[in-house]
Amino acid sequence: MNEVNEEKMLKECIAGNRHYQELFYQKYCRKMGGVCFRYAKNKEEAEDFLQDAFIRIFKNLHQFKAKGSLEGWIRRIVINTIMESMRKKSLMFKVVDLEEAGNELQPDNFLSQVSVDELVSMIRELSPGCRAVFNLFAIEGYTHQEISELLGIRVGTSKSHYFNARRLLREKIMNAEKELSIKS
Amino acid sequence: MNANKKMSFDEYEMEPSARVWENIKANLPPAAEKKRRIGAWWLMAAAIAGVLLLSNYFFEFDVKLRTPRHTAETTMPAQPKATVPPAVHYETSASLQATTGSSGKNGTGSAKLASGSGKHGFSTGQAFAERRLNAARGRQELSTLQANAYLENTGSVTTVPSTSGRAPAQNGSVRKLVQPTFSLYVPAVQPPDKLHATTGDLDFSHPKKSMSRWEWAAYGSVDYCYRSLKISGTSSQSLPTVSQDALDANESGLQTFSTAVTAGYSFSTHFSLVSGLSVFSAGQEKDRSQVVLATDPSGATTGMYDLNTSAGILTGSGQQFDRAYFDNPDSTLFWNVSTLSPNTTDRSFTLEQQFQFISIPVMIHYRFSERRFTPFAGVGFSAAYRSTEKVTLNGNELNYKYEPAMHDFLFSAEAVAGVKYRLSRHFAAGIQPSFRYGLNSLNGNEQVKWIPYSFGVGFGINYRY
Repeated sequence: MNEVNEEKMLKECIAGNRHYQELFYQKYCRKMGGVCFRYAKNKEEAEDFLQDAFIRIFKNLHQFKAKGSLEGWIRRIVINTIMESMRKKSLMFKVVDLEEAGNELQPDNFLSQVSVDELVSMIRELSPGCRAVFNLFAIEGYTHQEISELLGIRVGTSKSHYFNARRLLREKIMNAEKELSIKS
Repeated sequence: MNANKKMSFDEYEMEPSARVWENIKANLPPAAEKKRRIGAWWLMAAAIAGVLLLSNYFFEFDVKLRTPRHTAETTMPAQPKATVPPAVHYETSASLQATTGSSGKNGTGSAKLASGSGKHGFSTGQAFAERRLNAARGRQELSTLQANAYLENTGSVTTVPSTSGRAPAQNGSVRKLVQPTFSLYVPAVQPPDKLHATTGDLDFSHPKKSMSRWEWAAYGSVDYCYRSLKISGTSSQSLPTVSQDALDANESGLQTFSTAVTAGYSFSTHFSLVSGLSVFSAGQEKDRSQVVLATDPSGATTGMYDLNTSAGILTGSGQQFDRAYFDNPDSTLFWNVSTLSPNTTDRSFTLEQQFQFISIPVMIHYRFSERRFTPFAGVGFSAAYRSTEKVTLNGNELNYKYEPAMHDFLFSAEAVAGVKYRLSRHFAAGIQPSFRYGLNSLNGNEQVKWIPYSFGVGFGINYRY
């Protein structure tokens, strides 16, 4: 879709044109579905996230400033919708206050030892809090300060969740490698 | 995580099922939302125009009927001619004796009115007719000329002979007896086609005193406000499309006060059209809710807080919530993000949401009978404009913003039933239970529509001049 078409699509979507809204949805649903899938415990929950996010996107599309990246804007709304939904369902964040956790953070080279699909499956096995913080920090690129503001938790709590997530993922990867070596 | 891995995550995709788009589509506002707003304006304009047209019609109607002083519709049966005050008709007989002259030929001669052969002498008959005529003048206001114009001679003799003359001839005379008849026609007093009767005349207690069709009233009412929720749930909310008329466990109705000044026009014995101006409120009270850190759609946290209510989300800053909650902006309960954890956001407080409206009601009232106690009932609708709104937290006013914004107009169906007690000819006191139910949602949330309704008991005074 070229720039002119995107501009027209935005206008029509804001005006409530169902045809263009569907085209818009079809363009972004798979990629945003992938984002939702990383935060959800199963596909049904991911689809619920996606559905709520797109409803919110269509209702707030008039607020989008054409100067920025549309996909980036959509992605932020998707992530915020997921965070809000998780918070409302009280799925998140027992207060684990490990201020020193930041000192133990190590390079996460071990993550490159597995494929994206395998890593996504392992991430989805984490607790909701660890999963959210890991996704936000390691994949989306949020800082712990931003995560703390986004989730309403302390910076130390965010670091603690990330530390735990890394530790669990490393264990899972090691276990997977062991099983693979035993089989071979 | 290295850049390549991150890029791989960026390209990671999931194919959603078809139901996702179907659910999204079902929850999006229709494309004609803007038109609906215009529609509401048209509805309002049409209501006002309708009231003006109706009032104009009734105004003209009133004047037309009042011009001949009497305004009535009671048609009397056609009165038979015989019962109409009859034309004064007097006939008299007179003997006229004509006498030939000495030439023995017919000619003009003197004549005299005989006194013995008729019922009355001619002059007596004429005087009698004149007396009747004078009596008739009292009612007919006819001038003498007009009255005389009706006096015509139907007999063969066209001239009333003089009574003076010679003595009757003794011999060779020709006696001719004529009977001139005089008729006096007095135009009959035609009864009016319609007898006059105002509403007051139809009032059994004051059958002879006319009263206006217009009635003014001023009422005050104690109202109990509630709300109905029409919820269109999404799959994530796991809520079917339901109507929830009951309040949540921690919600309660709100007691408010409303006033109304109305004018009513009786267009028949039983029915009247009532309209005017009223001020009423809608709202609810909540004693526990969750205050959470707000995020805007673009993602950044702004240090604002959201308080979820069934009418919408109230957004305010931490300082504003602190001030409302503690009456002190420095308590920092909501001020510093780090002090707010999910486990401490569920607060007990009294949250009161109130919306005040200025309304134009248009109602049809039915009076069962017009006596000292006059029971009545009425139905109609009102168009109201949201003039003010207020939110208090523990009695302290909260500086807030509703998300989504509330609608400005509320259309309601209204019903009243009550009784008026006549204090004097002009004044009556009334008690009037009422019910009002919103026809549209007050909030802007398409998934959760907040529709106010209320019960009230009003007291007031009616005046009819």
